[in-house]
Amino acid sequence: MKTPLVELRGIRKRFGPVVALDGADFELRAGEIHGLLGENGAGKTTLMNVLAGLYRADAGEVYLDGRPVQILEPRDAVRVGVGMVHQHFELVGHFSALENVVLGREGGGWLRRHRLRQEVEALMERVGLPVPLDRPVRELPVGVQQKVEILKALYRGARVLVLDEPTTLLTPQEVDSLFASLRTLVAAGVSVVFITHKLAEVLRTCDRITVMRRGRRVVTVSREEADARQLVEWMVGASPPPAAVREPAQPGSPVLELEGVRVVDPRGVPVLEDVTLAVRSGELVGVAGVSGNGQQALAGVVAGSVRPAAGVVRVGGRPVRRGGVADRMREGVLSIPEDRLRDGVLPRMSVAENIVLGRHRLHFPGVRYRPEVVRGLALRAIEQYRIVCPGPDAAAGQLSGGNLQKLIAARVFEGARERGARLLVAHNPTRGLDVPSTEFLHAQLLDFCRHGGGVLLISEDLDELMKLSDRITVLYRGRVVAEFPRVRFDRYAIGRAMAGGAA
Amino acid sequence: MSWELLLDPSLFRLAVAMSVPLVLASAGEVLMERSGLLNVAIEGMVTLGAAAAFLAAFQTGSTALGLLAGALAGALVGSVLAHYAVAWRQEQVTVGLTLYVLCVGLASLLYRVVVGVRLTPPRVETLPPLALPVLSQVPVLGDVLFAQHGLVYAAAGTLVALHLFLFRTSLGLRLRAAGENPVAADTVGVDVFRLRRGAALAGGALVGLAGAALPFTLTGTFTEGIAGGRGWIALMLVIFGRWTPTGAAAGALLFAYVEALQFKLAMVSRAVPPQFLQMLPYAFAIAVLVRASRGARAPEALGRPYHREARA
Amino acid sequence: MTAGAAARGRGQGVWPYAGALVVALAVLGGLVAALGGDAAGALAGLFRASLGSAAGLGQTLNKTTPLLLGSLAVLLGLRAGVFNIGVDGQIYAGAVAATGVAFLLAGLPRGFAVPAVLLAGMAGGAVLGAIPGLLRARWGVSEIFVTVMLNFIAVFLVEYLSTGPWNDPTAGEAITRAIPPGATLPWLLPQAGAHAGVLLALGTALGVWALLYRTVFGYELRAAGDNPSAASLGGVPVARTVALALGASGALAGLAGAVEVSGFHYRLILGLSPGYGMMAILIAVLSRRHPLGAVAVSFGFAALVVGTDSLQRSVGLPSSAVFVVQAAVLLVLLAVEGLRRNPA
Repeated sequence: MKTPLVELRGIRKRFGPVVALDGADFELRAGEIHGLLGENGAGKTTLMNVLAGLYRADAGEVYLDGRPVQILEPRDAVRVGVGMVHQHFELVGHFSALENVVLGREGGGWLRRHRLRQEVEALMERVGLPVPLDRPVRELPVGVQQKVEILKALYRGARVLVLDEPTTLLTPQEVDSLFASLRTLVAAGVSVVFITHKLAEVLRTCDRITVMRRGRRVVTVSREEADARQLVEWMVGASPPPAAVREPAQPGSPVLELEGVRVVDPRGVPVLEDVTLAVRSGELVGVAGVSGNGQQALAGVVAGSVRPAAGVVRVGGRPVRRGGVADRMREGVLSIPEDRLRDGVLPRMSVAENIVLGRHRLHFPGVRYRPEVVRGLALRAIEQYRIVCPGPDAAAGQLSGGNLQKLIAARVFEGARERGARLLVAHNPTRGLDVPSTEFLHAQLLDFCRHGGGVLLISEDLDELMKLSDRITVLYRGRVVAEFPRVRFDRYAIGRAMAGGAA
Repeated sequence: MSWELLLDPSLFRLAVAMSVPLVLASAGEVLMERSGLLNVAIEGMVTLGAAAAFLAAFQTGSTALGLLAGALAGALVGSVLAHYAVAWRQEQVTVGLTLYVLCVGLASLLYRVVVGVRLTPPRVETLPPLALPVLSQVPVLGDVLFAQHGLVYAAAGTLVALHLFLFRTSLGLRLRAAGENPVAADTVGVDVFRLRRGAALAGGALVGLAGAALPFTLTGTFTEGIAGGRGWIALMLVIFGRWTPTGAAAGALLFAYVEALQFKLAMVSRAVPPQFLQMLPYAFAIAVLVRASRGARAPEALGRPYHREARA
Repeated sequence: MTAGAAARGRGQGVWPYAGALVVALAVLGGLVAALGGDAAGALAGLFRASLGSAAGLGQTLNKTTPLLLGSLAVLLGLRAGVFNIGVDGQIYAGAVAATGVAFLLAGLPRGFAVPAVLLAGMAGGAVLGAIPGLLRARWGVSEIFVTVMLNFIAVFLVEYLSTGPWNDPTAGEAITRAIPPGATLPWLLPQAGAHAGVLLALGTALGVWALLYRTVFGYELRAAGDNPSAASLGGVPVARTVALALGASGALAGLAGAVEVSGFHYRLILGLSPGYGMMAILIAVLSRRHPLGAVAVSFGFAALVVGTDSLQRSVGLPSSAVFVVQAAVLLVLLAVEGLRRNPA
C-alpha cells in the first residue's frame, strides 16, 4: 500500500483538566477528499489544529510522505505544505481579494500588482476557483470569501488543505460551488481534509470518512461502505438515553412565542429563517444543534439584543416593545449570555459588584447603593453556587471560565427570582462546568420551571437537553427542522436532524 | 464680507503656506494610525519639534540643522510611545497624554535654559520664498502654488511619497494589514510589532518636522503656545481624510484657509472682537469632526494593543 | 470596587507612591544638577518652600484645590471610560460664569453670593462638559478632540472678557475688575494665606467617592466604564450615563475655576490655569482613578509646583520643569508596570 501523504499517530492534547485528544490517529492519502466527522467536542478541529501548527500536541507523531516532521508553529506547517481554512476567516476585510491572497508574500519593494495579479489569476484558473480580485473582501459573499482563504493557502504552496466546517455559513448554491471546486482542486494535485458534522456533505463529497468521538478515531470507512445510520451511531454512540429526571410538565399559557422570525446578519445573509416556536410556563424547551446554525441569533432575539428582520416575538401573549435588553428584562425575560467574557462580566469590578448587575435597580430603587447589601448577596451566591474565588471583593476578571459561568448563572437566577421573571433563555450555560456545578445549575433551571417560569435552553450538549427538556427543537442552518416531544426522544433521530438528515 | 475677500489669491497663498505644519503632522499621524497606533502625544511632539528646531538653528545658525533637530525630536518621542504601546502593552491614550505633558514641559524648559530671559525674544531666520522657475510665472496659480517657501514643496513631496508607500509598496500593504487585522497579518508572517515601531519612528519624524516648520515659517520665534492646537487638529484631519494622506491634506488646506480667513478678517473688521474670530477655526474643527464621524472608518485595530495568543 | 477592596488596594499601593516620590525628587535633582546647581540644596529648598513654612504650606494648600478638583474631574470621566482632556477649558468656563455671577450679585452677603458663585462655576463647567458628552452619545464623536478644542475656545473667551468689557485698566492687560468682597471665599488659615477652598475640594473628593461607590448612578457609571457591552446587557443605559458623567466631570472642573476666582485671584485673569488640566490627567492616572488617592497625589503635586516655583527664583530652574518631573514620574511607573506584566 502506498504510504499516506499525511499521518497522525497517537496524538494527545489536554487543555487543563479537559482531554481534547486521547490518542487520535488519522491518515490522508494523496489526491483524496477525506471527511472528518464528529459532534461538537469530538476533537476534529483540535486534531487538525495540531497538524496546522496552532497547537502543540502533548504526545504523538506527525508524518509527511512517510517522514516524521516537527510542526511547532503555523510557519512550520506552511513550510511543509499544510494550509488550513478556519471557520472564522482571517481576512483583512477592507483589502481586496488580491491583496489578501498575496499578503506576506508580495515579494518586497514595490507592489508589482500586474505581476501578482497574473500569478493569482493563473492559480485561480489552475484550481478552478475564480474570485473577483478587486473588491474589498468584506463586500463579497461568504462563499467567495472562503475561496479567497483557500487561494491564500494554495498561493503559499499548500498540498494539503484542511477545511474546518466550511459550509457553516454558506447558502446551498455556495455549497454546491464549493464541492465542485474541491473536485477541481484534487485534480490539480491538492489533497483535502473536510471537517464537518454534517452527514449529507461527507456522503456527497468525500472519498473516505473518519469518524471521531471523545478525542479518538472511531473508524475510517470509504464512501461506498458508509451508511448514514451507521455513521450517526458512530458519531453519537449507541449509549442508552440518560435516566429521565424530568417529571412530565403541566405547561400553562405561553410565555414566549416566536412566529416566522427572520434574522439577518450585517451583510444581509439570513441566520435565522422562518423560526416559529413557543415556550409555555412551566416548560423547558431545548434547542439542539451544532454551533453555528443560528443559536446566537435566536438567543439574541429572545433576550432583546437582536432585532428580527421579520416575524413576531411575543412575551406573555403580548408583542414585545421595541426597546432593547433593559426593556425585555422589565417584561420578564432574562438571559445567560454565551460569550461570558465579552458580554457577561465586568472584569475589573469585584465579584460582588458583578453579582448585583441587572438586579441593582431592584435592590436599590432610590439613589443609595449599599455595598454591605451587595456583599451579603455575593456571599450567599458564592456559597450556594459554589463559586471558587478569593472572596467577594476579588476582581471578577480573575475567575476561571467555569466560575465565571457560575457567577453569571447566580446573577441571572437570583435576578429572575427577585423579578418574578417569566422566561429564561440560556445559551450553553454549563459549558466548562464540572459535574456537581452542572447538576446544580440543572436543578436551578428545573426549579425555575416548577415555579411557573419557562426556559429556552440552547445547548450543544445533547445529553443535557435530553435530560432536562420537555421538548427538543432542532436548529439547522437557521431553521427549525425537527421537533421531538419527550416521549419520542431518540438520540439517533435527533442526531440525524442536527446533522441535516431528514427527520 | 464680499466675494473678493473670500477669493483673494493672497488668501489662498497664505492658506497654502499655513497648511504645511498641518499637512506634515497629519501625514505622520496617518502613518502611525494606519499601523494601529493612536498618538495623542502629537501636540506635544509638535511643540517639542518646534523648540528643538528653534534652538538648533539659534545655536548653529543653520535652518537645515534646525529642521533635522525637529524631525529627530519627533522620531525619538514616537519611538518611546511605540515601546510603551508595543512592548509593554500600555494603554496608548494614557501614554500619549503623559508624553504630551512631558514634551510641552521639556520644550519650555529647554528654551528657557538655552535662551534664558531676555527683553526681546530672539529670532531665527524664516524661510525665504523659493519661486519655481517656469511654474511660478503661471498667472494666479503660479503665485499661489509655486512661489512658496521650500517646505511647501517638501510637504507636497512627502504627501506623494507617503501615498505611494502606503498603497503601492509591499511594506505599505503589510503596515496597513497590521493596523486592520493584526491577527490575520501575524498568521501570514507579517511582523506587526516591528511595523508599528517603524511607523512610530517615521511618523514621529514627520510630526516633529511639522513642529520644526513653525518657527521658520511664522514669526521666527518660539513661544510656548506655538503649536496652537495644530497637533490636535491633525488628529481630527486624519479622521476627516479617512486615514489617507491626501484626504488629510485636503482637510489641512481647508482648515488653513479658514485660519487665513480669520487672520484677514481680524485685520479688516473692527466690529467683531478678535478673540471671537480666533475661536472660529476651533469651532469649525469640531463641526468638521462631527460631520466626519458619521461613517468614518478607522483601521480596525487602532488603539488596541496586539496580544499574540499564547500557543497552547 | 468596594471599600474593602479599595483599602486593600491602597495597602499594596503605598510602595508605588513612595517610588513615585523618589523618582520625582531624583528627576528634579537631576535637572538642577544638569543646570550646574546644587541638587541636594535645591531639594531641601523645595521642601522648605512648600511645606516648611506657614506661607509655603498655605500656598500648597491653595494649589491643592484646583489640582484636586481637576483630577477628580478627569477621574470621574476615566471611570466612565472617557477621557476628559478639557479640564482647563472647563476651569475657565467655570471661572467666567463665577465672575459674571459675582458681578451680578454685587452687594449680596457672603452667605448668598458665595454659594451662587460656586454653583455658577459648576454650571459653566458642566456646559462645557456636556457638549462632548452629547456629541458622543448622539453621534459617537470622540470626546478627546472636542474637549481640547473647547479648551482653546474657552481661553479666547477669557481673553476677550479680561481685555474687554470686564477689564480693569489699572490692574493690567488681561485682568478683570475685582469681584465684590461678598463673593470671595473666607480664609482657612489667614496667617498662612490659605483660603477655604481646600476644604471644599476635600469635601468634593468625599462627595465623588460617595457618588462612585454609594450611589446607583455611580455603580452604573463604573459598570459602563468597565465593560459597556456587559453593562448594557445588565440594563445600564450606557450612552446616557456616560454623557452625564462628562457633564459632572465638567462641573467639577468648573468648580475649580470658580474657586480660583473667588478664593485666590479675586479676578478673572488669563493665566488662571497654569496647566492644571494637564497635571490633573497625570494625577488621575497616578492615583489609580481613586478619589481618596487623588487627594494625596494632588497635595504632592501642589507641593511640587510651589517648590519648583521657589526654585525658579533661587536656582533659576524654569517653572516648566515641574511638568517634566510629573510626566517622568508617571512614565517610570508605567514602565515598571509594563515590565512586570510583560517579562521579556
